[in-house]
Amino acid sequence: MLHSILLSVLIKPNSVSTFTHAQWNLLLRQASTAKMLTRIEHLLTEHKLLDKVPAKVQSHFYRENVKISHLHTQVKQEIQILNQLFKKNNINPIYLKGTAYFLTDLPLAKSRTFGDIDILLNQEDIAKIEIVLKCQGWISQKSDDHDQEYYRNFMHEIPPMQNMARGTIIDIHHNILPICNKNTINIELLKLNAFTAVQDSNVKGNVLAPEAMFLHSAIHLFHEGEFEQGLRGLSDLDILFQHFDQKEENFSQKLIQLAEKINQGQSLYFAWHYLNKIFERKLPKLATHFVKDFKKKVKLASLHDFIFFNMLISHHSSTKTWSFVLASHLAYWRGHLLRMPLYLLIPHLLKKATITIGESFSKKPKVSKLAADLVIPPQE
Amino acid sequence: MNLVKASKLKILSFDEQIIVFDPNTGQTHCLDSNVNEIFSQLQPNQAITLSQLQQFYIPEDCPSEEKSVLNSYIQDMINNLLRLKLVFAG
Amino acid sequence: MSHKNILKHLSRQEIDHQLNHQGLVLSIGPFVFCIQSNESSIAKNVQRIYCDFQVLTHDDLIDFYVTIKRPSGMRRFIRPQINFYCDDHCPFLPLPVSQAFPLLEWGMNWCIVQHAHRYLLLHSAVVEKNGKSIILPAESGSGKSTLCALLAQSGWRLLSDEMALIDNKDFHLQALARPVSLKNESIRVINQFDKHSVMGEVVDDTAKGTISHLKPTTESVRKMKIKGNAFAFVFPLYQKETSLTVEPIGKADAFMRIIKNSFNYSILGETGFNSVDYLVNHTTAYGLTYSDTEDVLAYFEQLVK
Repeated sequence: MLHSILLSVLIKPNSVSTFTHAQWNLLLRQASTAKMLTRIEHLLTEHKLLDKVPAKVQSHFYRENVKISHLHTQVKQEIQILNQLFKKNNINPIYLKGTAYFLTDLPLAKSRTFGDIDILLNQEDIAKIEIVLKCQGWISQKSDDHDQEYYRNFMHEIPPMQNMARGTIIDIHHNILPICNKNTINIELLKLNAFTAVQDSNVKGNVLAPEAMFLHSAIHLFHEGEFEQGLRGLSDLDILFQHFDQKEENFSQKLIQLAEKINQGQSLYFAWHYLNKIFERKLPKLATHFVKDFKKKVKLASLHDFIFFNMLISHHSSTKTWSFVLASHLAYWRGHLLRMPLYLLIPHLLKKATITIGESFSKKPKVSKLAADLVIPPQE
Repeated sequence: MNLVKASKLKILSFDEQIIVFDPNTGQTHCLDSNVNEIFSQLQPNQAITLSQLQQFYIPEDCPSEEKSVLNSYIQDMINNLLRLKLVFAG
Repeated sequence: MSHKNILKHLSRQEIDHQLNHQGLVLSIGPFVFCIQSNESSIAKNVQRIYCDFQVLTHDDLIDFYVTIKRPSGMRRFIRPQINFYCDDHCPFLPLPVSQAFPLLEWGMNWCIVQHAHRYLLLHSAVVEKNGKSIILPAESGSGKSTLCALLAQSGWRLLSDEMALIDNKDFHLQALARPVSLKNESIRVINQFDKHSVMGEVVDDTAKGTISHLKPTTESVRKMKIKGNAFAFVFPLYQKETSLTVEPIGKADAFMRIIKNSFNYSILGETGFNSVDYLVNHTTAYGLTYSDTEDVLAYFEQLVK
């Protein structure tokens, strides 16, 4: 495995104090690709190492902060608009992931960009809200019939919808794992103790309880098939766990109880196991015991280790090796298998493949989007 | 209709127009400078009614024809500000 | 700090070697680019157009790693195409190989637009004389680049052709002195205007028509680190066979036209608002309609007297 300088800084922030320019360059590239620049900045601030950071590198931290505060302004706006729509239709949504971290004002939110607003609804409300959203200028992003059918029959969400005027994308879920998965989660158990988080007086929304929030993040990461942002996903878990473990009473115990109830002990095991093995985090006693006991139950434990030790470090050309390539193929298949049984998966992938091939043949030579990008400033 | 102004607005006044930056939406607007007078009567946290606002600007002894023109002028301005989310109706 | 080295002191062989291997590191305004490519047209044009720029090493801090390379697979033999990469990221559709150098230029613009939020970025040319910087926003039909090239070849210092960079902290203009991108008819106009002007290869059929890049004057590159003071905004409009007219533009109007012209105003939020506030209050804005070269040059001369 080639050296991931990003990972080594996450483990030992102090190492930056002796960094050469060449090392800063490499860190900047890996952190930028992993979308973790601001996270590194926060880490170095926390460890009072910011004065070791060259001005040039700090200006890259700065540009990411600018983007994050712009994102937060946009998300605030969107939440207000969505809340009004939901209220009018008597629907009580739960915000997930990035939006939830932002609403809850978690330390994580200050160093995390996200593209979509994720929402969890009751399945029976979805048809209604889809029509309401369409009337308000939201359009479905997947237009081809196969994709529509795939989402509706097998998935835990409807195709993402984008607002035509503002460009915002919302992802509406009714569960957090595909419904064709044999291990479907009883979503009501996960929603238990959900509460209203208040960002400021105008911006509030329901979010999952801390233990459900952490577990959702873990389930999401360890059911993925693609890991471009795998390291960030693990770092999310790291920061969430540190925060909640400090703030909540018996957090580890609550996690174990909920994980067992929804049959997701393995996701919790992976989270703690890799926080310990990859980030070298010391786990609470209860967690250490849980990991030790659960390890016996995990099938193909060493194969999983091979996949995740490769996938959860940085994804950058400077760290690419043969084992990384192999692991990413395995991870892709594993992710798909976890989401869909094989008898559904193979026809789906075949259809997807033919559609993609068909598209690439029918594609007319397109004018590069480049010219438009640079001639017209991206302003309304 | 109870009216409040959006909070933390930044306003630049020029001869006939004002530029308003709304940090809540991130939008910048160019508006008629008369809007400044409306803004000066509105608060972000204390609501006043549209008719209070109209009474403030329209003198008692105003001829009724002129009064109705002014009333609808103020109404239009408020509608525009509502649309831009610079003013909210409670 | 590394030793000072100017690109023109490097042999073609040396330039090729750096471009083909670790990458050629150039200091361009406040940014440091590392450029990698096996394309000979990149080497040829970079050597010609960037000859006055400072070469740095891999022991210096680098902002952007850019690569121009052909995609792998069969496509490389039939109708070969070329891609731009910013580090591992490929933001554009591929272009024909003949457009490699324009693609590099556009890609470098993209890097700056996406990342340089320390600055308010305006889609404008900036030129300077007598310590007074004039910002020429690029509204459609403005003829901004032609005008900018005419001024640059008449002894004005070129700060920028494609982008004005206004530092959000002190409101000074940061120079880039990158090449001026000339299109279609204006290539001939500038060649005729100044027989000594140095241009890159002429590339036909790009998304913007026929393109060639004008080398910035040595003086402009030498003064790249000196910041400019915004003196006026001139919104040019080229109109055939009209006499030159100048109209002052009101401050509120100028404010809105400036933000419409910005690449990153909306992302910057209040910081951007403060910068534009400063600019409109410390400059005068004009609308300029012109056709005749001599008249327009004379106008700019008296503007900065």
